[in-house]
Amino acid sequence: MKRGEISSSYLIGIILAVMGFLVVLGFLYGFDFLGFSEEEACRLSVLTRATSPELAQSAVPLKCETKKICLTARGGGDCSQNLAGENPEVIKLSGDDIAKEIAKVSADEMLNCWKLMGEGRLDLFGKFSDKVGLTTAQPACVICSRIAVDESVSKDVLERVDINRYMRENEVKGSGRNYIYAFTSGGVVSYASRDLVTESAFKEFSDDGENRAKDVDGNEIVIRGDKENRELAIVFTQFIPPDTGEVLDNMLKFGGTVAGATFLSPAGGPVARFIVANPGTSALAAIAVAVVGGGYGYYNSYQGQLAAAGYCGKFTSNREDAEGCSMVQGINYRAEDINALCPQIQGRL
Amino acid sequence: MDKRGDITLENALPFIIAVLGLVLLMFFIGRIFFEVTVDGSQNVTRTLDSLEGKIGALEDGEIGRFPIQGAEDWYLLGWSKTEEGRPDKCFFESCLCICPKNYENPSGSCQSKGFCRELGFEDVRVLDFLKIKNKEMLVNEFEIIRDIENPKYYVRAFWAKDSRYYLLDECPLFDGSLEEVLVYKKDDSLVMLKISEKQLFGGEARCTKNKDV
Repeated sequence: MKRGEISSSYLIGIILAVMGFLVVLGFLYGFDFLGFSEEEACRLSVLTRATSPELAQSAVPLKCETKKICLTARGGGDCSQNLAGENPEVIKLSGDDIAKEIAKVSADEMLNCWKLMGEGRLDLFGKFSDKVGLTTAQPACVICSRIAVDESVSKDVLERVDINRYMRENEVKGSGRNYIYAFTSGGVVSYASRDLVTESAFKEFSDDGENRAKDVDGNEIVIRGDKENRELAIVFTQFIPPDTGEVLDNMLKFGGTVAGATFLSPAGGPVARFIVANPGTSALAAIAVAVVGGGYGYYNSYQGQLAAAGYCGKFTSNREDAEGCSMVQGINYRAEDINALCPQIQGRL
Repeated sequence: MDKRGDITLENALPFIIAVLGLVLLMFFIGRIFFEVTVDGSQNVTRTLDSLEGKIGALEDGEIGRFPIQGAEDWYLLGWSKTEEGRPDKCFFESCLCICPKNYENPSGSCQSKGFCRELGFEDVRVLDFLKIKNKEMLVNEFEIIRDIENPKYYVRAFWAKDSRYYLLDECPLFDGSLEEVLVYKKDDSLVMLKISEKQLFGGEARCTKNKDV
């Protein structure tokens, strides 16, 4: 070989190295890291936040985007009254029992949210409570999904939607067990019986009337978004009460279902509208799901009594004393109702 | 010439491969980092998409009420088609913008760092409506939105804790929570009221979106 000459073997090696580099670069550039689905990205961020060192926890954002779902009848619209401009997933309801299909979607979304957030056992907002100035028992929330029902589904159908019943009577796909079993990690399979004495002792403050605005002459003004509620938000909340055991005791006392550290709030009746956790007193501890103004619309005629699922106990965390309560529930997607429960909302709406 | 330390073809190839490998690793880490950090501009454009869609879905003469979440300390501003002082980004149309807070120059903030969408209306009014608890019967936002040019709504003010709070303000500011907007579409006009529990920068001074005009 002459000096300066490149041998063929080295030349081939360099060419192969450069070609390999270009192939890998192209793959990495084209790979959709988030259509490793948004759900996986959320799950990853939840785990990352919960297991991060205390000082780093606040630097890890929750990459959880609120899922938008439109339930529409055959030949119906795309929920433009609620989800216009938000690119929802449109599900056409086509079976014989549309009310049951709506209940199924709602129950599935509730369970999916619970699983995604680590079944309430992960410490997601612990260090944040100091950072954002949350006081004890003030919750932080993630809105997992918004489920809107198109106007093509009649009011009569909506009024028949009973998610509580669906969760008791139907199995989670592939599990062989019902939703109550899934929420309570196998603790129970049915709700506690309703106690009329307990209910009568519990003050009802909600208003069942619809929120109707009037002009100066007293004529009713038609307002889209108020006339009837057709949108349910599945909300995950986490809060730190003074005593997690007290929350479970109170839940049991007021007709909820308790299995170990998991619970379901009362399913049905006026007590169902309240989740109970109050700072500082030995009596009732309560975060009220405020029913402001218009009460519940057609979609919520049963959902106004929709059971919430929760967990109170030790969190998986790098903090030694991490303990609190987590909950998932469906409530009206209205600013007043959401803000009554959630002083802090994380994730992306 | 093979002196010690010389770079020769024998040791250049591993060196090249190592450099290429490092570049790939850095690229990979960069992509992961980008994907797991929150992209604020995505949230802003998403909010604008949502508003634009809802405005489009309204019928003429209809009022819509929508929950909305904006980035904390960002404005929601609107300009009419021929209004002076609107950002150049709006070109020759009326527009809706979400922009970082800048009390000195809201319009400038929109031009330099904000996000705007052109609307097809002749007149666009976007205002912050201060909702006073327990005074809902005295001040009806549904009445105001349909009569937005009435001067009586612009002089109405309330005193609280030695500060004067105005009923309507030109620079609605998001506080990061879920808030409500009321939208009214009539003929060639669009009126939007962002409902606030309090004016975040109350007091005697009022925000003027076109400071330089």
